[in-house]
Amino acid sequence: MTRLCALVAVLAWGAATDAAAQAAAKAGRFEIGAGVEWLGAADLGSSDATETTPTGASSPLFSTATTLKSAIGFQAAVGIRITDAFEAQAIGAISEPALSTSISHDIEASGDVTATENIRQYVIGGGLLWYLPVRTSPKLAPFATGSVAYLRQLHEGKTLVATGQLYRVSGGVKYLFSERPASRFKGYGLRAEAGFAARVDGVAFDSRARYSPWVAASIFARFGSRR
Amino acid sequence: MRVTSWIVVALLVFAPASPASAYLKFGVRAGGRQVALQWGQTPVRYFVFSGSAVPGVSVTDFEGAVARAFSTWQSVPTSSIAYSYGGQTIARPGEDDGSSTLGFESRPELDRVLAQTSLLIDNTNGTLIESDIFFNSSFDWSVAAGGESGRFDLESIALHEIGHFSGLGHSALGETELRDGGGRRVLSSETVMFPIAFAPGSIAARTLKADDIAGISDLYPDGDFAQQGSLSGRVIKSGAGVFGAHVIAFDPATRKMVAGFTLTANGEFSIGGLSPGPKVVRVEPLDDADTDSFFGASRTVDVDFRVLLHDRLVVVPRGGDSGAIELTVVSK
Repeated sequence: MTRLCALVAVLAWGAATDAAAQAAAKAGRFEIGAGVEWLGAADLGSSDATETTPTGASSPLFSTATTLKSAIGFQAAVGIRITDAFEAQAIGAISEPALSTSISHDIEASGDVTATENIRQYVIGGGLLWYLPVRTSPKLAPFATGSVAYLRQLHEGKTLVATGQLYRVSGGVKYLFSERPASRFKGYGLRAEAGFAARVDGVAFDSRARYSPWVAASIFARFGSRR
Repeated sequence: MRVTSWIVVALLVFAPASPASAYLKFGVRAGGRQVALQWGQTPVRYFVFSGSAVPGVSVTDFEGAVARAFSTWQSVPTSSIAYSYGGQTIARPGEDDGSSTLGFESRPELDRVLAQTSLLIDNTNGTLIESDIFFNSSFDWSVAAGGESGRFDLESIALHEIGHFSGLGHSALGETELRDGGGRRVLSSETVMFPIAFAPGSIAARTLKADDIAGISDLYPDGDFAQQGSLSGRVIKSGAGVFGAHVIAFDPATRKMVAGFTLTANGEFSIGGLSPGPKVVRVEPLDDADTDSFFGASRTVDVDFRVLLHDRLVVVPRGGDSGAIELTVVSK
């Protein structure tokens, strides 16, 4: 109910806005950008190494809890304006999160241990960006975006591949540093956004979606036809 | 001329010692090289001694229990091992007659031996010629579906012995405690090839575990076993290899454990039949154990080191090997 109310409020506000306020959003038809991102950790679950007792019950040998750690990575995006308000995007990202398994309660070992390996994670996909119809400065364009991507995770040594999907929703702003309406190069700016990503399958132990916070910042450049 | 020799493996009631965890193939010297002991042709035909009746277990009951146990091994999808029943015979188990026979024998002098498998080997190529199993009728036996208090479950014990019959040695995935009056009692195990049986009344060992399935599939690979991987490396202490260390590979995703031993003086090990993916690796000594249950008495097993939990997840690739890892243990 809360989400529905918020959406209605945004739409009502947007309807009253001035189209001129989106000058920053409108400059240029094509956009390319590259930058850094941070994707939060994902809990992959706990499992015990167990043995069977004479009654058929389980007796633990040790316990494990596995997490795909947060990581900073590189990302790139290519966008093409399809209407004044919408932009189709192709996205790609690469990062190297650690897969970390905490081992505890071993019946014989004296201390707990964390075993790790590094995962090389590739994301490639596409999405839609919506320039929010809200009043802003001429150089600032708030937006919301959603994307679906193919997730490819390579275990350490690159000998084993796990694949899955990554779904992302986020909101942010683009700030245009310079604008050159008469040129093919329309200008460049900074894009900053935050949201959530859901990873499905991949190195996870099951097909349940794992949600993680996600933030990114990038520099973009815009191109279009000469006026 | 065929040169043959016998190997004898026993399942103990209360072992005088405690082993640790893993599947182990019998290795024999044949034609000047070390080979894994196995049947050359399947299905392997077996017979039942016609005098195999004890209180509570008729010959028909005996046939049914061992048939279920053979079927359990045969139903492993990644293994090609198969058996066929040849019927009853008047030959007793242990007779060198070329026929593999199972039956009860009264051996009261073997007061800790529940059952024993004898393997006749062709020394020229390492293949099995005959495999006989006797179950010691000096103990009380049961074939009741839910087990019977005070009686050993015939199907469970047969499942263990048929592992030997097929070429598997003892595994060490289990925990024991000292008993008053000597010997050890099994607290838990995660393999039917553990050398000490569960207490009478238990039917928990009627089901094969991941370690058993990996072992039989490694000996007789079939189906998508080629898609499984292996984990190999060395266990070293003070720069030297450790012989007889027990190495466990645990898959946090499937919760399955498969294990192996270091089998050379350099401390080398290799564990096959692992599902692809990252593994937690644990090394433990066969401490205060009768290491004769696993290795020949002439081998010296190093048990003077602490349990090690490796601080790296080791990735097992699909159809390949992890690449040699090095596990350094320290003295107790």
